Amino acid sequence: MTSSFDFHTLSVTVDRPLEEYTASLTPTPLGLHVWEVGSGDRSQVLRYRHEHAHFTSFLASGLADLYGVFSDYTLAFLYAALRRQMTRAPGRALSLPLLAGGDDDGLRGETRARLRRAWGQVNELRAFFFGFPTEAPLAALLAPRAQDHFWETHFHLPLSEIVNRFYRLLARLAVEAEATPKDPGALPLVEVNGVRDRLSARAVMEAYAIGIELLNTHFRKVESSHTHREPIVRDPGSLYTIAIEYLLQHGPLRPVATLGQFLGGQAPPDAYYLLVAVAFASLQVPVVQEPDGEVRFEGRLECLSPAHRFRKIVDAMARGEIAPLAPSVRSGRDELMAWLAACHQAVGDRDSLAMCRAAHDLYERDATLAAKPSHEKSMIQLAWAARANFDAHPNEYVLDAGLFAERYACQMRYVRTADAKLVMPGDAEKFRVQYLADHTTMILEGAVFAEQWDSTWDKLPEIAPRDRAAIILSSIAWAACLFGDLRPGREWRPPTIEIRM
Amino acid sequence: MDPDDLLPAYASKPDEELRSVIVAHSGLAQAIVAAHPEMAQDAGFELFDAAWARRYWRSVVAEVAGIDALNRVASWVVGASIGQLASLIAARFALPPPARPAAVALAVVLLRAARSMTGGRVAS
Repeated sequence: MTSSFDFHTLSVTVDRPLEEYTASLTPTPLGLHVWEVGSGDRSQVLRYRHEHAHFTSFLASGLADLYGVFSDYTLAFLYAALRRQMTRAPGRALSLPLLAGGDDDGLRGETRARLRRAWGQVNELRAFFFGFPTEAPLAALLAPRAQDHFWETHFHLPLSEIVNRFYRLLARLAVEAEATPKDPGALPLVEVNGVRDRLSARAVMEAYAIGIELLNTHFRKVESSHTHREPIVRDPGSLYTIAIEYLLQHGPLRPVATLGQFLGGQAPPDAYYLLVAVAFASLQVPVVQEPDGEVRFEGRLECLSPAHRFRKIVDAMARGEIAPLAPSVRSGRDELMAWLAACHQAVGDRDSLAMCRAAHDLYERDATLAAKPSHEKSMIQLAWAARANFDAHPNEYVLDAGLFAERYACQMRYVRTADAKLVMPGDAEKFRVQYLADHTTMILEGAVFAEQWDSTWDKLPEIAPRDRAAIILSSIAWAACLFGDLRPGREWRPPTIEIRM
Repeated sequence: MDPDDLLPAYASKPDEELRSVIVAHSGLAQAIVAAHPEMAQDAGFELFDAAWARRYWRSVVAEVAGIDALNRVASWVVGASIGQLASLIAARFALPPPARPAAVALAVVLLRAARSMTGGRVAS
């Protein structure tokens, strides 16, 4: 097991048992940080820095807000699929996962096909914005037809607001996409080593985290008797490194280093700083979920896609429209903000930095919110805290992943340890409710689609196989509460669940 | 290169070495991710590491073996060998001969995960 961050649940899994992890915590407001060792094995620290960089760059950048649109929609979608099955055959055991791939699920062929098409499109869209490369053409990605067909047979009025928000996003992107018809693929093609490949959002996320990890491996350290249990030069493969290579081969510092030299810490420090700054600017999509829950998206499709932003920013730098990141820019607040603003301008983004400023203003004005511990914050408040922290200390936030730029408490919500234990600050009773609220969507993904069954439970090692039916039932009941089926004065019968995996 | 020649050496390689062999053939990684959008959008693992294998062995084996129902993959795997699965992977993704080591490495990774998830025995 290695350390990993999962943005679906804002959790990190660390490669050490609970006892060892607890002993490594710093007894300061920094909370869950595992930030440095004086001597001995430093591999854990470096992996933690990598995963922590994923966390801060996801939360402070608008990606968390954009992900919230998908998270709410998938919850509505999955509940609707289960609800239909429960209402069509009341009293009959719910055999889960609902769709196992064969034809023994009790669904009509057309219903099954509609469910699969609509879900496939949702996953392709999630891959486009947050994941590995999708080959889906832009038109297929944005056409609402597959979703229309699903909702024709699954619509339930209390889901309207969430469903409408998702359609609003599709409609906005589709209009923008029509205005920029290019290659039929949704993700940008970039040429690296003489070969044209798709640049994905995940490659940009990884460029940021790898850059932070390498800065800490090779440049930010106190020389002592450190050892490394894991190799310090890791090449995770081109799906992870294509953004780095694109910058090395097409950016303003070229020729600066090969990928191997870069990963081995043999490039000049300027190259690493430039990479993390470009990657961070690329992740800062102009989407914000307002405190009242409404989501505001700004800009064109290419402005909302980290992959498109990265390519455009690198290309603008190559044309000399944006200066390379000089050391004075790295150390000055106003200089760095101006540099980021130039990057945003290159992709037509006029709103991201203003959204961060608004978050900072809110936290400055609202003393109660500012004093709230991280584990008591809602997802919206966490994302606003991350933005406020960025706005308060952009240099530390962008160039060191904000490890020490925490004016307003903002931590990962869950830590999972190598011995399948789960850590979350706060009191136990609130924890149970929060846990269910945070994991219901993921659990229902496994309950509906067999191809996500193993993935769901692998993410939740704290749930023993014998407890899966019970937690699925609790998740269905939670969704039924959210969407008005389970409420005082209304009869709601919990289904009997039969697991078939 | 005859994949059978690779079997004894690859069957005992550590996970990380096998992963390096697979990712060295980027076309295979791209094809697998493109065929599985649920995998492409997922997070919390590195492609082809042990966590990835635990999550997606069933989907990838089902795809290459042409099995529709995922809840039947475990029983298929009981009788499968590394060589057989590697050949199916190579055929499904039209891998050229230089990429055959990647197919064998992937077969080992998938069958190891299947064994750990089902308690079954993996043939070689």
